[in-house]
Amino acid sequence: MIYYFLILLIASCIRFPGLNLIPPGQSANLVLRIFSAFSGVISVGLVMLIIKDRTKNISLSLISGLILCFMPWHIEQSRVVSGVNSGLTLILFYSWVYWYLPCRICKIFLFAAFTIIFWRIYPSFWIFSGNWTLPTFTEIMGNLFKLISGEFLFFKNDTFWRGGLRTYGVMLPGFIPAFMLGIYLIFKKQGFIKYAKWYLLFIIIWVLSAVSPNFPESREYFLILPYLTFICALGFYHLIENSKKRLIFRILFISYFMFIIYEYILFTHFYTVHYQQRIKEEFQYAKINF
Amino acid sequence: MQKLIFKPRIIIILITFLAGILRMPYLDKYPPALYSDEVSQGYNAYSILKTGKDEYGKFLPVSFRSFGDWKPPLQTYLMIPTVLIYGLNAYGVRLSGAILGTLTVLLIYFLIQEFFKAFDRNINRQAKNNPQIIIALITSLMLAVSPWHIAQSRSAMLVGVTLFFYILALWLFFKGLTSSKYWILSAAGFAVTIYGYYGMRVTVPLTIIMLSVFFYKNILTGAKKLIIPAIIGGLFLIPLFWGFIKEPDIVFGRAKTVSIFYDRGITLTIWDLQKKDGVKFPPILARFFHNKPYLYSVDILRRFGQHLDGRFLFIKGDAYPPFQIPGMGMLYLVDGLFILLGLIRLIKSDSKLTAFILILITISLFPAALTFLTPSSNRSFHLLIPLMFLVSGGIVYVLQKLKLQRKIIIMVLIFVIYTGNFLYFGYQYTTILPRDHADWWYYGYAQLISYLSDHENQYSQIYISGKTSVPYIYLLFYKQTDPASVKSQIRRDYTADDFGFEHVAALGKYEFPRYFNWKADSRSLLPNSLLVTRSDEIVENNINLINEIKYPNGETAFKVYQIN
Repeated sequence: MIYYFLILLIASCIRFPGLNLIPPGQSANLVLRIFSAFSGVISVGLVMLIIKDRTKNISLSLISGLILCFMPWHIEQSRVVSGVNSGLTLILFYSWVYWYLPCRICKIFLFAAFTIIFWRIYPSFWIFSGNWTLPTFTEIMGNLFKLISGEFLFFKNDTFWRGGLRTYGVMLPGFIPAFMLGIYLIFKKQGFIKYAKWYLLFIIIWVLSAVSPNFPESREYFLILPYLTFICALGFYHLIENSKKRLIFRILFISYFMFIIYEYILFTHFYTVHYQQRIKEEFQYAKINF
Repeated sequence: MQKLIFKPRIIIILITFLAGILRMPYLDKYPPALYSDEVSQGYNAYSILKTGKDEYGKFLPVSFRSFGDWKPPLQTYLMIPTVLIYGLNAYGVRLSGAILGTLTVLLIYFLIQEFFKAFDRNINRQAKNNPQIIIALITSLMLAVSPWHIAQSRSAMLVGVTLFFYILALWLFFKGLTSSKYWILSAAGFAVTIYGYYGMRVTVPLTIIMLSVFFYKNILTGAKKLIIPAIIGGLFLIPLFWGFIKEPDIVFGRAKTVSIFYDRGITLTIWDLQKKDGVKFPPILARFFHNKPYLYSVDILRRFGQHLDGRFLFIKGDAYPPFQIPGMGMLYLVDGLFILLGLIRLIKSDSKLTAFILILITISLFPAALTFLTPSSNRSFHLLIPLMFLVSGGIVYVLQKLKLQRKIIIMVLIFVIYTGNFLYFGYQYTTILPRDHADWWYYGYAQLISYLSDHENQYSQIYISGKTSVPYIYLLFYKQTDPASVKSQIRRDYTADDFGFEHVAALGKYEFPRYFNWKADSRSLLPNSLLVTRSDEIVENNINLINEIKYPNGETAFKVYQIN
């Protein structure tokens, strides 16, 4: 239990300090930013709880929490006014509570309540906006491929152009080996077809993001972060377990881990120094609730 | 009811025949014109044929200097017989590549069979009982109708012939696991591949290392038998090493100028970020945060991933003409589904085979990831081997899970979908590309040179703007200039431009102003001369426009002005 609280504490330490300074913004947005940061911390906790419930693997859940805690996109969205961040927390809460509800009527009632609250806290979701101009088939296919491309996931996330961390991907490049290992393990052991229902939500979010008329400005894709977190956590967990078997694997894993730390240091420097500079140069505060 | 028995040999012959039908006819129409690289290779093949020397007067070179990009020689030498038979035209230039492209379809069938044997998969001659034979047949069929492979086979862009020799070398290696005499030919095959394309100078050593690791037991038990293959491989490479000693660009040449290390983007990024850190920021920390090793590593990874991006493979294709197929990616959209299923099947069934395929994919993309013009269909061409294998694996995976009646329905459905995709590709390649994108292939030079040849005696000088690509080589090619006389007529400027290309200033009475600009250069134009420009170049209104060479869609390719 203590580890869970420790991770939540780390998440808080990353998301709350200097909310009115990094990134720069209007002081009037500070309350909304606090709410967003709070949602971010809660979502880290909920991801850990859900993965612990589903997999019965405490280590895996802790690793998932750590990964989400440090994920660049999640940090970025937790420190700005972000409806999608709050929406993610709500979806995670719904997913967690859903399994404990005793009856079908409760589930239906919960779903209805969830939909209304989701609409209220994430009104910028493109379906609610009323602009339903869909891209062409070729554009949709291109968008779908872009959202699962290496470039988007690890190098350049441009879903939030004026204000986003577009010189970084959703995750850091150092996560590539763990992510690929996680994908491999899912295909090999988890049974891709058998667990298809778990991927159904991912497919829905993926398609909704791809057909958004605002693409590439479609932060809806942020809602898949729990999936990416789980995949990376699976990879890391496997690496850690294997590192216990032989010294050479341990050395390799420690080297890999040190590299991840180095990347996070780079990210922190970029976020606290260069990201601010770029936002100040480009951003017009009066126009967006940032 | 008598059961159908598939005879693999008949089927593979039919598939090879289909591949030939799709690659060899109408090489002068599809693609619509000869690209500058093709023309250069063709003329140098002609020059070798006539004089034993290339256009620069170098005897049997191991690398053709061409435009300063030092083309690997394999395809040029393979053109010599077809240039001899058909002359300096599209067939002379492209036929050898088309033939080898057709034979690649046959060869990959044998490769996949040896591949399965090497990984201890039972394989027998009865196709109906043996999914491995069926996978080999389907891989061959998928390659036969692959838009990527068809497009490369029908043009002389180096990688088509290289793939043939690479697959040949791999096949012979796998055969050598049971009878080591084949390793001699395999070594020769790998060495020949290195003469085919720059990327192979990275791919082949990595492939050999990979094969050595995967089959180290076989290699160690027959270690003495590797001596002769190693000697043979070394002998084949002696000309290259010798050439390198005399001229280093023979080995690195074009690779140098397209490499990410040649591009200044990362250097400028580091400089910009360090500057923004401020003067008070400790320099050592600035270098810690912004350094070349990390940024180059990330850049290489990013470019690597671009070649596995669905937009490149299935939607948009290559970013650079003439390697684009309009309106589609390098593969059929439906290939994506079967690649995914093939990958799942592979992962679930065999770890060693999975590792091999994934490493083969990595090796295939490594040369492309080191260049700054990405994604590149040329430099990642060898990706076709594992991808076609995965497609066929995916198709077999789907069919294996079904009972006979549903199997037939799904087979028909797959056939219909692929036929639809193929017909779409056919339309794009034979109608849209020649009509709307002939400019990608420098269409118009044949007509231009014909016109100029007919009228050149009427003028004292003919100027062709250097912005029209490399006009001199088209002149040499279409006029079939005697190679022995080229050296006395040509005036070269060896100063490379930003992309590493050298320039020819003049050829006889033809001059090629490198950065032609009407305002700056018009005064130096002699009276009673012709000026040829691209349609978008600005020339004074009162200059006499006497001819326009047009693209098939009616737009102007070249304008011919008379200077009085």
